[in-house]
Amino acid sequence: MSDITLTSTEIGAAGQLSLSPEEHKREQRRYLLRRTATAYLFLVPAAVFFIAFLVIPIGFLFFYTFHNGGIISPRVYVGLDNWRNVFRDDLVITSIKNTLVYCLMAIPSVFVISMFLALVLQQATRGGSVFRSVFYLPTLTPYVVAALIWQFVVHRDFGILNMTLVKLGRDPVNWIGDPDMALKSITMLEVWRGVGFWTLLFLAALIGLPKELYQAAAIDGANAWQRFRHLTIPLLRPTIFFAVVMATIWNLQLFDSVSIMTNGGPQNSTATVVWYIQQTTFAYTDKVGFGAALSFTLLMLILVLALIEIRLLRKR
Amino acid sequence: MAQVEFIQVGKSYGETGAVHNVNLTVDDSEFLVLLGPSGCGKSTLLKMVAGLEDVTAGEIRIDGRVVNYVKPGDRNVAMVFQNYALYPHMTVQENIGFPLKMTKVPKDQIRERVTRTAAILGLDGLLDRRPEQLSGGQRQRVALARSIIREPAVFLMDEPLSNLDAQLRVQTREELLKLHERLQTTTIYVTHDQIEAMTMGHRIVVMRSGVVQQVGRPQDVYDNPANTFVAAFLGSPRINLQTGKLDGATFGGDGFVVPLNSKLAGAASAVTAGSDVALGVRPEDIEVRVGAVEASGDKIALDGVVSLVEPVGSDLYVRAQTGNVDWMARTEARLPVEPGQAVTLVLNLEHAHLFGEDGRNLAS
Repeated sequence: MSDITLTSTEIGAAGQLSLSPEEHKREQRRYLLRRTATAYLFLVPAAVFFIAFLVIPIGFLFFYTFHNGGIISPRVYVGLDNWRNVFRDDLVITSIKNTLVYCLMAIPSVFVISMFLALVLQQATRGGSVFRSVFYLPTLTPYVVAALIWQFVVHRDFGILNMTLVKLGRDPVNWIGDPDMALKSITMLEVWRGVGFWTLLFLAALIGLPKELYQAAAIDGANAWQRFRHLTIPLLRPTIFFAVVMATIWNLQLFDSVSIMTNGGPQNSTATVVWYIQQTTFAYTDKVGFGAALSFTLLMLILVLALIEIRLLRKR
Repeated sequence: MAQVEFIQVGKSYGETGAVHNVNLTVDDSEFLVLLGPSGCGKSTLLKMVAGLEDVTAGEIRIDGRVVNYVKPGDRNVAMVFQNYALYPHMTVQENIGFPLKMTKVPKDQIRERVTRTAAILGLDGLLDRRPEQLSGGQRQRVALARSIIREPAVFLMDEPLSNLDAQLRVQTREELLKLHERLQTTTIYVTHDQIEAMTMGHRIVVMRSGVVQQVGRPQDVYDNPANTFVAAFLGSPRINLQTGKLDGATFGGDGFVVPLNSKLAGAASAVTAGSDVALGVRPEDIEVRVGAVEASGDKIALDGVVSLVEPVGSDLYVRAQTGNVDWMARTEARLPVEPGQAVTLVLNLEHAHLFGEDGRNLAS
């Protein structure tokens, strides 16, 4: 049987159009303009802040990479000297290396712990909200307070970690005094502080996953690990993608805990890029231009790493 | 293929009971439908068979084995969910093969069985697509394919057609029946749709508030409802239930009197004269006539006035008032009646029922 198509004139009598095609076009343009104008209007506050506090300072920063001084001493044009120095300075290479090593230790650790805690909290039938608050508390603690608390944890003589080790019959560890241990201690503090945030993020994503899929998988014979591996991880892909990129951006800017706990030492073992930028820009004020060039280097590093991650994670 | 037995099965959430004392045997190869309104416990009962809900009282046995404490994946059952529960990040092929992959079936065997199952359900050309690229009907078939690939002992279906449009629902209903005919797998099917229940089930189980109201072949349940709930739940438009009192061999309603036929008089003998009872007459057992009609045999004539006319194409639903009560009649589509018109309602009491004060059918 062939389909029968009726035209609108066959179905009912045709009415007369009120506007000519030109008038329709004109009215449509006006309508679209009104709609777009509203959108732009709402964007204005954000755009003003973006330009005033990001675009203009970045422009100034770039300008300063070609100068020395400028804060208490007069500004002097030095061409590409600062850029050349960035790649010649040993501490720059050390600080980049330390920052990357720290990221490689901290990000996987915090994600594994947070995912584990999120999975546990998701299953918790009682006391879930209490534990959520407990885990989130370190994230709410100001950096200075957190770092001071942590000094009591890692203190060589009366820190809780060493006291525990001694009780267990092991030798105490010089957590922040030993160049081999200092960056690991900083990592522990940062992981402790970050776990709450990432746990809540993963938990929110886990709660949003459809329950039926897990029921179907259980009936299909998938055990808990198989359900995690074949359902949870792929379904959380957008969240994990966001988390990896954001964690990279944030962790490459490690500063506060280093500044408070070790000030880059011992033997520059905890010198990170942002700590070095702060040192060159504000501790030795004649090196503002060098600090600016270093800041730009970090910006490039973050951009490149984030882009690589986006490329890798966006596959499929 | 397997037999499923429910022995004194109950389910409660704390103090709240969801399913009460269900005793039922689903025979090998049977297509059993659990029917009832939302919240009646039918899905809970199904999930208890699947292992997705704990059994808090009694036993569920599959082929004689108590499965109360067996993991869902080890019960040899497969389930089709209302929203299909397809894995969104997997292709059709991966979805169908998932149960085999989880049980470590070799890859070449999985591929071969997926191809075979997809062919049965007409999914051959869709194997590389993802669920989001499929229509509702196609998703439904993928969910079915995933459930049959394991060749389970029992199929569990939780309102699998409710997300489909009316036309596709009828088509898929037929396909499901053909599939059952072919595979002969014991099937427990949950629905709130009486048409699905009537057309698909070898037997239906009508549930209400966690309690089984009646079990039987669809036509038997329709013709001999155990109580007013079953009578009202099955049939569209719903059965006319008029309350009144028995007086010898007559039923006295609100402003009308119906002399009982021998079948109803026999049922009425179970209660004392003057008892409150309800007379149930299905709309298709009421004829609407224009002009006077003589009562004869099982047929009783009542004068009425039409209050509403609803044409549905194949039939005409006529609501008419007699005394102080309304009757709904399902009559021939082109009957020339209109609201306000005086008519005669001819009640055929051959299939009518009398229900006692507690709602039970007095004939049962």
